[in-house]
Amino acid sequence: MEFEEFLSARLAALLRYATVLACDPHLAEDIVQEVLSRAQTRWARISAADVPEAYVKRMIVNELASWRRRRAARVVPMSLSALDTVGAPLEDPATAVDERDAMIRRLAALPVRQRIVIALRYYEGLSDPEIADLIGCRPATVRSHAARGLATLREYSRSTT
Amino acid sequence: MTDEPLIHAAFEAIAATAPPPERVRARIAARARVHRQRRTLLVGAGALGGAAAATAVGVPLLARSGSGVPAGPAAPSVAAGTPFRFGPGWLPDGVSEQYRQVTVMPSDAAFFGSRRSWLPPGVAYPEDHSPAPGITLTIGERFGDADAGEPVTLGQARGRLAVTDMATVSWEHEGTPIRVTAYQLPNQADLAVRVARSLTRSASTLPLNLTVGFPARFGGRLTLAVHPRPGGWLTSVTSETLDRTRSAMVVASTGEAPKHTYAQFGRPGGITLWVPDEQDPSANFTRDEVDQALMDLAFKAPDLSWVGGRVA
Repeated sequence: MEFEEFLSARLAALLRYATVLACDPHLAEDIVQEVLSRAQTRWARISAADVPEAYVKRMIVNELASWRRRRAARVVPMSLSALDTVGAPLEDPATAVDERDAMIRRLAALPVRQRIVIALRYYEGLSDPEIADLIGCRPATVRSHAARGLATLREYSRSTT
Repeated sequence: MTDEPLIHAAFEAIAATAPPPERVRARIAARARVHRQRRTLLVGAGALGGAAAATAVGVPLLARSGSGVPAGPAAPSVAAGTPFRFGPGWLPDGVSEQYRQVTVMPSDAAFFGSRRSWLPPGVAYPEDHSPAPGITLTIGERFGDADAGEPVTLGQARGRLAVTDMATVSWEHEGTPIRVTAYQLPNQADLAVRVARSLTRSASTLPLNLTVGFPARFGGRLTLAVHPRPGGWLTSVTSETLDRTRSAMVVASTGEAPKHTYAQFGRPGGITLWVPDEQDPSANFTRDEVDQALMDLAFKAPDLSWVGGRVA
């Protein structure tokens, strides 16, 4: 697959993926641009891989972790109007949107590794071994990140109710 | 909602704020154009640290044994450094010089072109072919889209100002193409024009500190590049045929080489020699030739006395 074909087919999905992992569309845009610009210069090798998208996704994860090391953590500027335009059907729209908005802010406040693991598990639907392979650690480490992240989310939830 | 559906709903909402692919695609394309232009220039890489004494740490250039015929060592005039011809008489506050590159004919030091970059404080020169933030002055290379942008007056010369995610002023002086770019700076279009208008004669040089036994089929002109790295330096030399159909590059640096290289060797003193991964397949710089070139390479730690300066 040529690089341009790959962009046509997968760029939108990669931007959603990076936005979810970063919890920040601006940072996601920078990261995806950076990663794909680098990938383009060695596309011959990347496209020879069985699943080039998996390779690029791994680059995005690594780049995000790297950016987070270089930059102070950000607070996600999620707007409620943006949130109101999307989302699954909700049982009680008013309460559920509040809950979802609160959850977004809790997710954004998690340490980056914990958030990446939770995003890959709950948004991408990956198994722990698949996540471990993607982020380059052991499945036990993935379970540890997930457990700590979920515990933090529940802690926030209890403290705000 | 219970945790899992709530988390999923939150991520779905976050995903819905993803930026539009069209904008990102345009930016990637813009960077690719810059990358191609820089590949044309055969950019090397850079340097920091002390090493002002330029201690010899390599071995003398050795003629290759076997079938390959190495290009001869550079002429003394090249080793002494070829002037850049022009430099900025004015620069924005804060930026300082972090990158020098010059392309010459090794036999007589004839000047082909140069590139210098002045970066904001705390910004390292990018080694991934992405544009350098700050001000960059490129002399002697023609780029595409010569008619792009708006006309600007530069003293008695007429140039063009093109603004994308960077501002570029380009014009010719006595037949020599000149280009000033400003990138990731506030009011960068104004800055690019002001730097372009300030251009003056320059006696600054970049002495040759690397000699490599490139196979003769790569013989032509040499491009030398130097920039600082955190705690050290990086310097490269590229040999390219005059018709630009074949080129080969060798890099020496302190610190680690990139993760992916075509070949690399460690040298005493924490020096690493490598050949970048992005070799032009048509160049056929074979592994044996690369190994021989790296073993035979002679270099001195680059003179970094210009790093951090603002002189023309």
